[in-house]
Amino acid sequence: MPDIFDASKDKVRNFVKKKLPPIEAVDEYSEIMRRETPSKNPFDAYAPKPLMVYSFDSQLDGESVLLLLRQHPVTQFSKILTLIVLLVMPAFFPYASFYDGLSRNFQIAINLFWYLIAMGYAFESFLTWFYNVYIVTNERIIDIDFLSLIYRNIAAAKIDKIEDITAITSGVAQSLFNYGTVQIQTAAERTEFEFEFVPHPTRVTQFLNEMLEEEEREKIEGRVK
Amino acid sequence: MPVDLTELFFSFLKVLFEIAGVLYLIFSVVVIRQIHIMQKSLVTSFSKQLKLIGFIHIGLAILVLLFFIVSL
Repeated sequence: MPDIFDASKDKVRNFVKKKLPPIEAVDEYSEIMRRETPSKNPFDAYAPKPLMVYSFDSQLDGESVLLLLRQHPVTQFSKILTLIVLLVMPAFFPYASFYDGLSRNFQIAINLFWYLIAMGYAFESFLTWFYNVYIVTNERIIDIDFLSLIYRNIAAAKIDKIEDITAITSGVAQSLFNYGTVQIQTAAERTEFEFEFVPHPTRVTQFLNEMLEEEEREKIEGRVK
Repeated sequence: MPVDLTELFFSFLKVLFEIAGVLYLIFSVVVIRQIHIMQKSLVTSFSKQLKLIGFIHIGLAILVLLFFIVSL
């Protein structure tokens, strides 16, 4: 006699399966995320399923961070070089003609102030790098920009508004260290998002495509919020 | 009465250092304010340490300014 109703069948199991939290559910539909281990390091430039990011501004209920991106550390090379020059410069002060004419206290003052400026430069550069992030959640893509100490720009678009995704890797450094720019065209208010100089641009593109497919699947199955 | 030019120059230099020190102190306060805004934008496990570094930065700026005022 053929089975009319078999509860052990996969279809039924899928139908009644428990709803997983978004950060675990991503493994169900994303091949990329299944291969990645959750990131625990707060300084990671490529942080899949980040455990060290607790929340972000404008986070919605039930929204989880699935991927956090920053510019590849190699892009900070020029700033590190500038810092090294700033730190080494005081060693050459005694060779300046005016330096010997100054009293000991003035010499100390110049050195102190110089190192303070170097520290401020390093700290400000680090802050700008650390907080300039690109976030992919289970609902949206978010671009948080701090271009200077007084300029902040946060832009977001829903995943289903994404129309086109392109990964661009150009130049020797980008090929060597595997980083590049991911361009995302959207039908949202801001039509173009650029994840600049992020590690593994191809992987990011693949993941966004998987997210897009899942979003379409949700629409078809009527699971859209 | 003759004016000692060297003394005048160093007094001027001292004032310049003090102004620079005050401006740097203002900058370090702006940095703390900025850290606060940044932390609201993204809360991570490193947020507390960053704020601590920001306060150390202000502390150093104050110490350097005091050095300029007292020792120069």
